[in-house]
Amino acid sequence: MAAHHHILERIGVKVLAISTDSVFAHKVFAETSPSARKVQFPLISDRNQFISRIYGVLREDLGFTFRATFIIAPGGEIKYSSLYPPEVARNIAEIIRVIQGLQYEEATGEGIPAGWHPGKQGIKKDFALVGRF
Amino acid sequence: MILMLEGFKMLRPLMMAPDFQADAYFAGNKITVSLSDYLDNYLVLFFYSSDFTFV
Repeated sequence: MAAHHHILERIGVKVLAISTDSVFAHKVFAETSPSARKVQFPLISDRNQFISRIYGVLREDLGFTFRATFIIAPGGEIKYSSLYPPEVARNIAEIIRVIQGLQYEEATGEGIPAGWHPGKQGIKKDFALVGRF
Repeated sequence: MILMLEGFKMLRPLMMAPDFQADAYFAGNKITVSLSDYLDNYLVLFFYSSDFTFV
């Protein structure tokens, strides 16, 4: 995540990370862990688990959350949500691709085909083209 | 063990993200974060289980 932060910054995306740990734990984590030392965004402490609960990602039996990701558009609409299995960490490049696709669609009005990445064409949204792809 | 959790309703696309305020650690300081202050552009909100098990 931290390694991709410059790309997120370039496309104007903000990042918030959140866990049910205390701010004290966050501090020591950020100061000592090699992966966290590079973090350039706030680490939110959801100590009473309220936020995790309302977003529906709390593991009530364990007191912590799934690896959940939300992409939220300007103004607050959720555009994307996902849960990774606890065993597997996220693919941040895919999160970035989804946001770039949303931004491309807003700019061009074109649809975003499977496997699209920046630099590739979108798809014209035209009923006459249905069945051509 | 498969847990059947009543009321486990993850928020999903087309829903509005509920606003919240919470303490956070950022750049050596304890700050207060309001989600609404971060919604002038796209935002990635990512939940992780515990410190030291990041990403």
